[in-house]
Order: sequence, then structure tokens, then C-alpha cells
Amino acid sequence: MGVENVESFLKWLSRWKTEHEAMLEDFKYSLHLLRRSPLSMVGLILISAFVLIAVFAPLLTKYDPIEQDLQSRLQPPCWDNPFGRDQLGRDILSRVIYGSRISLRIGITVIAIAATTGTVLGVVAGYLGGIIDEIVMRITDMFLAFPSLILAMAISAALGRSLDNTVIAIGIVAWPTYARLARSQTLSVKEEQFVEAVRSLGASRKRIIFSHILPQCLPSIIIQATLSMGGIMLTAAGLGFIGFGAEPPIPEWGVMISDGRNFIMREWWVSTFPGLAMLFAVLGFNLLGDGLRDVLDPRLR
Amino acid sequence: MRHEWGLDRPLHEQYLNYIWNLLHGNLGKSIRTNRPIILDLRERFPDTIELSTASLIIAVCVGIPLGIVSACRKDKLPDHVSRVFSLFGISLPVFWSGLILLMIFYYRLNWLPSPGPYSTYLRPPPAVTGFISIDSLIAGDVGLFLNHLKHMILPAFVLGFSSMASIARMTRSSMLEVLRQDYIKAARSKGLKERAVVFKHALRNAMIPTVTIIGLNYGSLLEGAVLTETIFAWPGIGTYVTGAILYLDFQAVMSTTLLIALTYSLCNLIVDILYAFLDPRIKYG
Repeated sequence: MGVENVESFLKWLSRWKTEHEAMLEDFKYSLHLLRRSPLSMVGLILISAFVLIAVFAPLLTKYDPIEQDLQSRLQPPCWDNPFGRDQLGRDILSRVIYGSRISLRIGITVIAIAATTGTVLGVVAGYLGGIIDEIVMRITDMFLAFPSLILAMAISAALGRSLDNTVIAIGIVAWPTYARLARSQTLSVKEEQFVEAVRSLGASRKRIIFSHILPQCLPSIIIQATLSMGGIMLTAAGLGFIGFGAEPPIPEWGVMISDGRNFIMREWWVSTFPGLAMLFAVLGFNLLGDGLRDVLDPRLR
Repeated sequence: MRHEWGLDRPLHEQYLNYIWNLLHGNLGKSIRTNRPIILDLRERFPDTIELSTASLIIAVCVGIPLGIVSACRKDKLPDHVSRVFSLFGISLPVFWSGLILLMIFYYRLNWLPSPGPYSTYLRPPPAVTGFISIDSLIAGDVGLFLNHLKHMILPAFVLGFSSMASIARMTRSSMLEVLRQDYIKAARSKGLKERAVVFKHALRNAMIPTVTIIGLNYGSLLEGAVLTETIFAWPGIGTYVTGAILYLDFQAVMSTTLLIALTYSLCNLIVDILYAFLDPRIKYG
């Protein structure tokens, strides 16, 4: 029973490999180019470190990120608390470590919401054209006309202060970019011969859109997602900083920077370390995204 | 109360009423400052424009040369350095870098003044245009003017840093594209100096995409001003709108958002018109 399953899986795999040989070759070549660019590798290392820290947060620190110790408030960095303690005596190192979970969660959920909505709308609008295209693209234009941070601020103010509302607000602001990108990709892909071939074989519109056009748009969507991950984390932290993001006890980096604002002149460690963590995480995504763009954009090869 | 705000009337009538008032510059009253919002904005908008323009000037003056250098020395050390520099620029949270620079340059080194548009012992100039720099010159108060500029250095630099990065990246990639063209080869083969080729033949053509990015950046600078202003106690619309949101003063929030969106669109229009100057092939009308 088990052996048969494995065998049929291997058969399927080798068939899949032959069918997608061109794509795999291209992917291997891109990977090869990417490995030759040291900056993207640094980005990849930073991202991996960030993800690993987020996943293994409880193993990396012995302090609770929200446990207060008012006796040792604003204690400067020392051997036991390398990043010092904040105004409520909480260990900043463990708050920074747990904060990576929050940032990662925000980034992934926002991208999941924005990229799916945007891509589906963009592909459908681009393929169907006509009145549907007009409607979707005008709505997109409307969202793009507004400055995104202020729109996100207004939305999260209207929804109330919480982490989930931050995600919703940034998601609403972020989808139009994906819609535009997916639409422009679709417009060029739908003129290709293989689409015509599939259509003449009698495939339904739904099948053409989701099984044939959508996969072609994915590479550029992935680059866009990597590139915008950093920006999304910055926006989320910015919202937290002004006071629209996560509620106080949550170790969110933006809120932590804002906490240290009043002590920045003397107790510099309260704001400095969460900011540094943020900088490196965002830098990782931007380095990788930048490298990916160079590799996957044939004009720059 | 409901009658005073017109909430007892049908929705479409409320909306038409709002548009009518909007077109007449009547944005309603702020429940926080208890003044007409248009007056609040009129008072604060020049400060934001001043700050973001100063940032844009810094960003352009540093970003374009940086982009040119990395395009001419592609894949060499200067290119890598400017690339890392620009990526740092996009990755820095402005609200954090602002705080850190303030701590270093104001508190530790004491090279630059405290937050705020000018020192507290100085009195504001009589309002003519609303721009402190211009008003102080009109009033002939050079001391105030210089003081104001000094206060602007740090916020303008912090705000402009991320735009500088994207301008440098754009200049680099469009320069690379142009330098590959045949007419550049032609210019080189007729014996022109490299400097003339780069600045006379390549730069002008490479500027077109760069101008778009600059125009778009002005919009994002206005937006970044929101965060920067709160740190540097700058009395622009950024501090206004954050205050308004915390107070749930939605009328003010909407009006500010509208104002920024309007300025943003205006920038795009100006960029479109600039195209025609840079590229004679494009003609409108």
C-alpha cells in the first residue's frame, strides 16, 4: 500500500518534471544568479535569522516579555539583560525577540490578504477587460490616490486600536499595487499562443484564468511581496508608534520605540534596540527583494 | 445636535451638501480646536510644504549624483556602497532614526538645536505667506531665518533619506538602460570625453523616469512628514492629523487626507507637464 503510494508519487513527480522542464531550468538559472549576488545572500541570512528567532522565541530568552519588575526599571544594559530594561522593568531583549513574532505575523497576514485579493482582482479584470476592468481599475486608482499611511491611520482609527485592525487597515491599503501588477502581466500573457491553444481546446474562462494565466503572474507577485514586506512592517510599526497599532502590553517594535521616546536622551537603550531589530529585519527583505528583481528582470541581466 | 450637523436629512442630500461646501472651501469645524478646519490647515500646511520641499532638495542633490556614480561604476565598489546605502535608506524607520539622530546631535553633541521650527526665545514673524522662511526674510529678520534653517536640517534629512534612496536607485537603472543605447556608442566613437557623454547625452534622457520618481516621492514625503513632524514637534499638518485622529475628530482627518491627496495629484500633473520639456517627442493636446 505504502510502496504503491510512493511509486505513484515518484511517477507523478517525474512526469511533472518533464512537463515543467523549461520552468525548472529557468528557476535553476535564476537561483544560480541569485547565489552569485552577495547582497541577496546577506538578505536571505537576515530573513532566516529573523524567522528562526520568531519561531524559537521562547527558547532564546529566560525572561517573560510582559513580566514587570518595577524595582529595576530603566536599568542600563548589563550581562544579565544585554539590552537593558524598560520603564516598567521588562527585559528589552526578550521583548525584542518576541516582537519579531508580531512583526512576522503582521507581514505575512497582510501580504496574504493583499496579494490574494489584489492578484485575483487584477487577473480577472485584465483577462475579462471591458466594463469589469474599468470598474476594478478605477477603484484601484481611487485607493492609490490616497496617501497610504494616512489612509491606514484613518481606517485603524475608525476600527479601534488593535493588532487585527492594523492588519486589516494595511491590507486595505496594500492590495491595489498587486491588482495593477497582476493586470499588466495578464494583459501581456493573454495574447500568448498557449492561451489561444487552451481556449481552442475548449477550456472555460475560469480554468484559463486560474490554471494558465495566474501561474504566469506569480514570479512578479512574489518579488513584489518580498519588496513590500519591509514596507508593511515599517507601516505597522509606524502605526504602533503613533498609537494606532498594537495595545501596550504586546511587545510590538513600534510601540516599544514609542515607549522609549520620553527617555531617549538618557535611557537610550529603550528605543534603540527595537529600532535596530526592525532595521535589520526590513533590510533583509529589501536586500533579497532587490536581488530578486535584478535576477528575474531580464532587462537587467 | 442632529439638526445642527444635518444628520436628520437623507444621505444623498448630506453628501451633496458636503460636496457643495467642499467646493466653497468650507470644510466644517474641528471639534478639537473649535475653529474652521480650513483655517487650521491654511496655518499649518505651509510648514509641511517647507519641510518636505527641503527634504526633496536634499534627496535630489544627493540621490542623483549617487545614482550616476553607481551606473558609471556598475558592479564595482562605488556601486555596491551606494546600493547598500540606498537600501538602508528604505529600511530605516523614520520615527526611529529621527529619535536617534536627535539624541546624538542635539543631546550628546549639541551641534544642532532642539525640536521645533525655531528656538523658543524667538517670536514668529508676521504671517504674510505662512512660510516661516519667507516671512522672516520679508520682515528682514535674518537671525530668525537662519535659526529656522538650522532647526530644519535634521527633520529634512531624516525625511529625505528614504526618498534619496529611491531616487538613486531609479537614476542608476535608467542610466544603465540609456548607456547601453546606440547613440551613446556613437557619441563615444566620435571621440567625446566620457564626462560629456554621461552628462550631455545620457543624463538628460535618463532623467525622464527619474522625474516620475521624484514627483511620486513628493507625495510620500508629505506622508512621511506625518511621522517626522510628531518627533520634531513641527507644527505642520502631520501633527495636526495625528492629534485629530487621537481625538476622533473625523472631519479634520478627512479634510487633511483630502488635502494631501489633492497635493499628490497635483504633483503627478506637474510631472506629466515636465515630461514634455524633457522629451520633445511627447506633445499634449
